Amino acid sequence: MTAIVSANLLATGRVAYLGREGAWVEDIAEATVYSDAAAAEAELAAAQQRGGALGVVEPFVTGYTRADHRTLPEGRPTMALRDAIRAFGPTVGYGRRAEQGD
Amino acid sequence: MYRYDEFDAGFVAERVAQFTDQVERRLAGTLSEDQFKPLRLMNGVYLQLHAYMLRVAIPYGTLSSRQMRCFAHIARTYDKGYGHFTTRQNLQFNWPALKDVPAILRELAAVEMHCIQTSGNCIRNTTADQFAGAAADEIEDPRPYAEIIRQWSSLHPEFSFLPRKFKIALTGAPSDRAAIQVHDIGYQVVKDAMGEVGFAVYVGGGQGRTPLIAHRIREFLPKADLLSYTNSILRVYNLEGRRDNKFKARIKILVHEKGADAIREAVEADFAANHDAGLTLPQGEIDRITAYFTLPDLAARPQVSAAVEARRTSDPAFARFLARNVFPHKVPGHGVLTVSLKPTDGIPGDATAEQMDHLADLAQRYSADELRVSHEQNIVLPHVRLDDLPAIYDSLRANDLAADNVGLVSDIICCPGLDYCALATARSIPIAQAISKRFAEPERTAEIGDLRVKISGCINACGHHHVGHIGILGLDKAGQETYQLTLGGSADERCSIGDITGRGFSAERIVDAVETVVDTYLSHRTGAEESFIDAYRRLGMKPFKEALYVPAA
Repeated sequence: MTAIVSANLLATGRVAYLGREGAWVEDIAEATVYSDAAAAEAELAAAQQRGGALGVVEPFVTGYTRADHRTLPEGRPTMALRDAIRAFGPTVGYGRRAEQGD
Repeated sequence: MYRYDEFDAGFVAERVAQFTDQVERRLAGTLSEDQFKPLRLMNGVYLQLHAYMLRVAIPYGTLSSRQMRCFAHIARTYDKGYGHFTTRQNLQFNWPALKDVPAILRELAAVEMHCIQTSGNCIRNTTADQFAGAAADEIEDPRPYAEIIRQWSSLHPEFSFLPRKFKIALTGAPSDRAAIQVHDIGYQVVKDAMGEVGFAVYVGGGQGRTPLIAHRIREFLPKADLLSYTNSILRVYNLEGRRDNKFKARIKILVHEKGADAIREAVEADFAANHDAGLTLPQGEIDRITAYFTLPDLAARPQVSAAVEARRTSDPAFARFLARNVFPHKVPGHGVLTVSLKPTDGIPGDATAEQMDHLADLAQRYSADELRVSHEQNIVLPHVRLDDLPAIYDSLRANDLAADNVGLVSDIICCPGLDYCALATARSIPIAQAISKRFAEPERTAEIGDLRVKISGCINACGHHHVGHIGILGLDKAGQETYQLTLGGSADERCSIGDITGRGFSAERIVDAVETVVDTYLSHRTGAEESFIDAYRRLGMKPFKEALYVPAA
């Protein structure tokens, strides 16, 4: 299964993904999708090595396929529910309404 | 209400300055996350799924209009316009940026609030009956003693690194509205045979993965010995509590493994040896703190309000509101008003900044400037005149705050669950919303009567599911949200831990299962006067299980 690297941004806590050229992006659609978890782990290790993870907290690798990312909240993505909620926000009122107001 | 003295203001200001520097160093990269994490947790800053979460202590659930307005201001300025009141009478902000936390802490300090000891293995916010100081059934207001515990336990050097977190709750009434028997220590105000007022002492209750009911280890503790005895309990726990296994580190496990008698002996021995060691409370000090909690000057008024009676007969919704949301006050002609934060399809415990401001306005105008947070995640206006209830009700209605469901099936305790929480294994809020919609018909809900539904999104049981008359625990079974049902729990003075019905239910089926349980109760009860919990205790699990797990034909 393909995979991505995720974390929370240090300054704001918001969910972020490792994207092009080692940049951390907040939109999962802009995340770089690696061929498998091992490749994602290697990319994360490389980012950490060059200091590219200093601006984030608790980075981790998780399974993800590009086809998953619009199936929540009602659909049942192969992506873990927890990862989907991180990507798209709470499945309940306040969070989403508030996000739209951002 | 208690006001900070120079010492309180000083230590809070020092801590804000210290943490501001720590945040700056973390953002500059000179502190690593490993170094910073314990520091941020000591100041109530968690990292959740979407963002940081900041937990603010509301001591014994009492706050002023000014403090509530500060919450509204913070919600608007630094968050997404709302906050979440918790089962520990705290407030959580779900979206603060770390870089803004020092500014938020300064705003809180300006209204005498802080986030110290809202996380970590220390003595957490001491909670109390939300009706304390107002309820007609109370022996004595327990909050002066909660405040004394707060002062003593804040930054206490001996008890800052306990084996695990430690929670104390107090009630001043025989009706336990503070769930004291599922706390590490529960103090209940009692009178002895001579009429002297003191405390019955409960130790070793808790929920989480191992729910246990506290043991009463002392029938009567003189008030002067409150700190001395608390100190002895904590010393025994600090020395003997397990540090080898996080899941067995709470005092409830120590009490369970050693036995209540052994713990009593150890505590009493320490108490006998040390109880003159400077912790005996001088009466002058008790009086000084008690003076902060004096009942506001409320003139007695007619016990029956003509304005209320006129409205009651003409407005069934108002009549329901009176029946469920108003509790007898100590002073005739007054009431203790619970404002439900559980509207149909709402998120239990959430309030918008506008609602917080509105509640602050109501408290200022009608309730001696005071509000309370209940462990059931509602807000209380503790001192309202009955004559003012129609106006207050109309005002609440205009702000989506007039739900007339206190203590009913839709007044659900619910943790944030997987929608927010990094520890959760399943969502809990959508289940609460679905149940509230299923039971949205007020006449039906009133007919069902007292029924406490409590939902947790993981085994840590922040949503108190073990002590729900109906408890729901969300689990992850092979990637699917699954909900385990328990029946017969109770958090009051007849405390009990619920029994698991059997295999769990899917998210789609759990609301039907709750309705099946309710329908089974209705068909088996002796009459409307037999509440759900009484019926369950009489009937046992059998009829509910039979209704829930009908064999395939």
